[in-house]
Amino acid sequence: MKQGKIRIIAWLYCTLFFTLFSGGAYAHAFPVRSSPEVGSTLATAPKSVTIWYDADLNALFTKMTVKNGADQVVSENSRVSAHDQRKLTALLQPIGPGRYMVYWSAVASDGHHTEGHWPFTVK
Amino acid sequence: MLHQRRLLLRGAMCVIILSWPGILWAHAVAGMRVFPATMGFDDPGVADEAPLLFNHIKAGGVDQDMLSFGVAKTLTKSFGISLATDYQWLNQKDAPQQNGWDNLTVGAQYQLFRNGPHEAIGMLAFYDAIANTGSGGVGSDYSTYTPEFAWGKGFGDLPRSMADLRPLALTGMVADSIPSDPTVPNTLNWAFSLQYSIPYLQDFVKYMGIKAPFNNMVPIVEFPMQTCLDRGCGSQTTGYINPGVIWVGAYGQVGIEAQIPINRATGRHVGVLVGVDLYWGDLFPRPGRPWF
Repeated sequence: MKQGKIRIIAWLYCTLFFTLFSGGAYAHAFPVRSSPEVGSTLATAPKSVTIWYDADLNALFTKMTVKNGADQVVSENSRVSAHDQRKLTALLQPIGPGRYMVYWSAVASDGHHTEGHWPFTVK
Repeated sequence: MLHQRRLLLRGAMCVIILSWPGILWAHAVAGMRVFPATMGFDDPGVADEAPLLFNHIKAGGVDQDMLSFGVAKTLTKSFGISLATDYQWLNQKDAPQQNGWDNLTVGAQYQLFRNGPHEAIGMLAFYDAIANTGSGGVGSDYSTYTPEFAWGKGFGDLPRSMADLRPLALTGMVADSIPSDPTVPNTLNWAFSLQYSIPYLQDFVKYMGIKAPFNNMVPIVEFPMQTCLDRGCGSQTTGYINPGVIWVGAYGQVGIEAQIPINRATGRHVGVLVGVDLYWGDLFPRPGRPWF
């Protein structure tokens, strides 16, 4: 009986772990990639910043702001894509050479909140 | 019995293999820092989780295999309770094998502080390993009461000139195990870990092009220690150095560590720890929410 219980517990964990990587996401939302890339140096100024997350986002409470080295906001129209709930984009005003910081605040569809910031540079 | 161990090890390997195509994250979070659950000692987060840990070590001529599991539930955002136990297989030359359940341990945890900008987190906890709740001669006939403080600090607030070090984090724990049997020594449990988060590096410092499964990995070294305090045990310190790696996913984590004894009193053989921790608060958000 003890061996049977242990076997059941071990395989339950195995099954649950398989489940959690095969289904949809209802967890804290963290970035999986971005454009521009985190910490990158660009030859030309981008027109927007996009971050893709690993969980569906609550469009109402998720936002992104981009600031320049003088702590001035240079972004606008931050929004979650209507066609991809894991994609957050903000348009940029015309920007020149310098260091910029992307600030993001995400609320996943299950209500968990995450936030972060990362730099990129325009040569 | 050998078949059973192989089955459990296959279960752990199944977890590791199936986790590779997975997506990302979440556990004890302070600002941008995710502190994965350490395998050798308690982590500083109050969360909804279900850890499963397999350990093999040989010390003092005894081969010990142990399967530990538990469950933790948040009652409020800052307060949680837990239940844990383990099953042990003890083999010694020229002696019959001894198997059985350890005592059941109940616990309460309180999130003392959480500072996002400085990626700092602290937790107070109290555990009671209840006497006579084990079996097979493994559990004890006395209770053990353990007050504990656990903490974590990420290095994300380092200046830009040290940005390469920002993915580093330290965690630690100190606890005093107090047996109800006056003849059994008190034990000071103390531990710390040094970890480097590849997800943190790529999400907040610099994208390096590291792909799955390595992009979710946190290389770690844990140092779980014990110092016997009184009743004639001579203040002996035993413990391990546990180098390893933890893979952190959206709903849980998988980790593996070697256990290297720090001295002869601890043992002469290197052991292994394999662990799974399900973040069931993320896996099942509704029941995983705090009850109050």
